[in-house]
Amino acid sequence: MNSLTRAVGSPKISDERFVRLYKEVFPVVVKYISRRQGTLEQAKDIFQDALIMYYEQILSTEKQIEQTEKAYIFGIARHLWIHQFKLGVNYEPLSDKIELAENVNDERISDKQLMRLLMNAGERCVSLLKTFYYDKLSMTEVAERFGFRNERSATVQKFKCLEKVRDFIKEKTLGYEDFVE
Amino acid sequence: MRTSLNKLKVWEEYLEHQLLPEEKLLLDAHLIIDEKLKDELYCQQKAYQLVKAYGREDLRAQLLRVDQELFANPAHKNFVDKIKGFFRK
Repeated sequence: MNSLTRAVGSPKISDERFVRLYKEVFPVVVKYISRRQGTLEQAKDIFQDALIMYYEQILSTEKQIEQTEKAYIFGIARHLWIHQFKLGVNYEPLSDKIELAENVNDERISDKQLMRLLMNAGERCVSLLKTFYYDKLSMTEVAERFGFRNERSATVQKFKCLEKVRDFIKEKTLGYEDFVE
Repeated sequence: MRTSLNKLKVWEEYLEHQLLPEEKLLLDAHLIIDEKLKDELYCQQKAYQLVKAYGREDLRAQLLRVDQELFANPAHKNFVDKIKGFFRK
């Protein structure tokens, strides 16, 4: 397990916890999918999406659920499989259909291009924002991870980063005519 | 915090429905009359979307790393055999 490490901006859940979830829940998902003529690759895609959804709904916010962890994740995976079966299409992992396309009314630059440019321009800022807005760490935890003196300094930096990202998007997506009278 | 950062904070509260009705109403009115403000809010929303997308990609990379570790490291042979067993006729 030495190859598994945790970087500054890494998600809130450790690799070891995901290994445990894999060992406990993946066999149940594989059994279900294999009996329905699914492949190992399809089972992996669906299981990973189920874990992502579980993370976004529960793990990062530490919400309580009534079902066991195993039943909950299996429930998501089964739902994803049935949904795919009904659509009769190849499974497309979540990360390829992220909600970026929604509410976008300009065609000048794709969201993926924008993301790439943004990462080049300020990866640390995006990483800091992700830690707060996606991984749901408290500002105290953000301060610790990124080496700020206290929660207040981290909060100020968070809004500076948000401003930087917003202005970057403005520059890249809105036309020049939008800025001149 | 400087004024521009405070504005971001207020718009964040607006987007997260954390403002009082009268505060929201005031900002709604600003949005109607100020096109530039509308663009700024659109870009702020887009920033949150990009951050979420980045978070999801990062999490998927972590899960792929875990998957590779489990399926490539001989220490997990029993687990891999169990999984492959489901696909044997």
